[in-house]
Amino acid sequence: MKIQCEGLTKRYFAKRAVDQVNLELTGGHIYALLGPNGSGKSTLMKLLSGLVKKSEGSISVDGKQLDWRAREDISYTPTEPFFYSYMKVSDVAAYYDDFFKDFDRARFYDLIKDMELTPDMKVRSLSSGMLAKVKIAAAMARRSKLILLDEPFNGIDLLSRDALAKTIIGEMSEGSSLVISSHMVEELESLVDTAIFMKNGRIAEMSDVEGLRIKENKSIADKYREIYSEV
Amino acid sequence: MARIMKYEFIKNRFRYLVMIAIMIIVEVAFLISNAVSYRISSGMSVILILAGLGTLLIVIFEGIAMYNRDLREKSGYMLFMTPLPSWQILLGKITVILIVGSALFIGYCFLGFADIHLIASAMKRDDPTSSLVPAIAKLLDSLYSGDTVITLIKLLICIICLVTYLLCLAYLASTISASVLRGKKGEKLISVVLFLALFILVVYISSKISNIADAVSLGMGTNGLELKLFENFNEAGASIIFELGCSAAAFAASAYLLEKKVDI
Amino acid sequence: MDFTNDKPIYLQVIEDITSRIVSGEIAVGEKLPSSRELAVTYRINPNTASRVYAELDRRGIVFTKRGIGTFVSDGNVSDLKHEKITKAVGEFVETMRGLGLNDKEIEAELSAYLKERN
Repeated sequence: MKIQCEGLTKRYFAKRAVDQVNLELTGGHIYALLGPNGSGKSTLMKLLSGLVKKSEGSISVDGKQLDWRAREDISYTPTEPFFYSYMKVSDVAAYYDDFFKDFDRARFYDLIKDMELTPDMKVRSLSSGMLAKVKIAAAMARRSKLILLDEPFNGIDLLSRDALAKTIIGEMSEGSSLVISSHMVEELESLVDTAIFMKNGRIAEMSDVEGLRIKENKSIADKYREIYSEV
Repeated sequence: MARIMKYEFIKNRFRYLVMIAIMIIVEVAFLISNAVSYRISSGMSVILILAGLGTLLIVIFEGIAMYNRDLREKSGYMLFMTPLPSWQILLGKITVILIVGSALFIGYCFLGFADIHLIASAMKRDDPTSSLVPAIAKLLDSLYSGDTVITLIKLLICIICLVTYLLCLAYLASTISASVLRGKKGEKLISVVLFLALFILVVYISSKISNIADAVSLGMGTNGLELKLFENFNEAGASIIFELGCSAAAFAASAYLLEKKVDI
Repeated sequence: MDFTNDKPIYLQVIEDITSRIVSGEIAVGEKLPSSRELAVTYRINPNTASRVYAELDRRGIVFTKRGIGTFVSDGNVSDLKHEKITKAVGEFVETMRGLGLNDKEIEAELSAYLKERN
């Protein structure tokens, strides 16, 4: 799957949340979408998932303009809790099973079991760490071609973050792509192969993680400091 | 679309159960009072009618409020991340409200029929000499002699039509305000004002075409208590068609905006 | 495993695997985890993991049987060990020279240390 953005812009009144973004995402990669709060990471992800509508420019999926059909293959998982409050873990599975052809219910339950959660748990009463696990399990149990995870490690302790990262690596389908946004750069250092740095709604830099280490002896954390400390 | 409807039911199942519970409680209260005296129970029947109207209004109001929550709250992601076109999502939501509203209406009609009979027999029991006894008997006769079922179906069509355009206009108002005033203060207020403006406009034009209100009347006629329903239904038809046309236009506009302009 | 920021991650993983081969923790002829399992174990990108095996294969440290898995080659372990020894000794000598010691003094320090340890 190939996603192409050309001159992609999202305006909220006078503010340009995403500004003239040109971007190409291809299959088989894990991308880190980096930048401080308000740099446009979330808006860009929502644009790619079709939840936020572009003001200008274009987004194409395998050459076709993005529309509701893209939601068959592109999954977006927001930072905030979003499951319906009546839901148990098993209801989340039923919902995903009803709406997404690429959802693998058995895989979801395997992940839930690995994460030491049970199907009868009420989503509403889960801790933020447990809820993050359910969200990752649901997202990864879909064999989407593009998986967008918005700040999946927010508010989660170190050990759970490690376990979640391993789940993400282990469950990623062959040829599909993942975009993970975060402001915790170190967390993504070894996980991703490409880093996209956003600044004021624009893409400031796009780097190959290993290439950066080979050519400039820099990690993405070093690059991050370089890009965002200059005022 | 069936899947959207399924989850609209599931999300609201508790509210719908409460409404059925209210219906049952009011009816039981009626039955008890009717056993005591028809004077109390005929008063109770007013409460039954009010409960019916009230629950119907709550279903409509909740339907509109729910859509606004879907547009503004995080749980809206659940609805709008589904790989379905906006028109199916909207149609699913509106259909569920119409089905629930119609079911409540039919339920209350049934109870209404049964209760009129019960009041009539309680009246004979408690006050056989009252002049109202023959009047009620005549009313009951007229209910069965006339094409009551057809009349009620006409009434149901009118109500469905009214609810449909109420919903479509309210959805349009919410969608416009969500697409234009994304996240700004006063978004809800604007959508209410917009809805009222649209509603008044449609009602005004509709009343110029023909008058549905005239089609229903209840009064003392030469044969006692007379309920007139839709004697000029065919005339009202023009208004109904106009209102349904407005609903369709509002629906199409909402679906378009939702697909192209509204940020979730 | 913690990675340092100055070297490519795939090289750091290769270092770790070769050390474990040399120490005998991973035996010659042993089947190595799939590249996906390797990615999960080291918490690294799957593409990086593939690169690790490609590079190990290129260096002749492992060989891949299609559809069966990746195995540790038997030919190169002694070379690998020798390489690692040379590298470690080289680093040690450089450090000592940096402290101003000449070759004789380095030898003396080393024997004294070893004597004391034993």
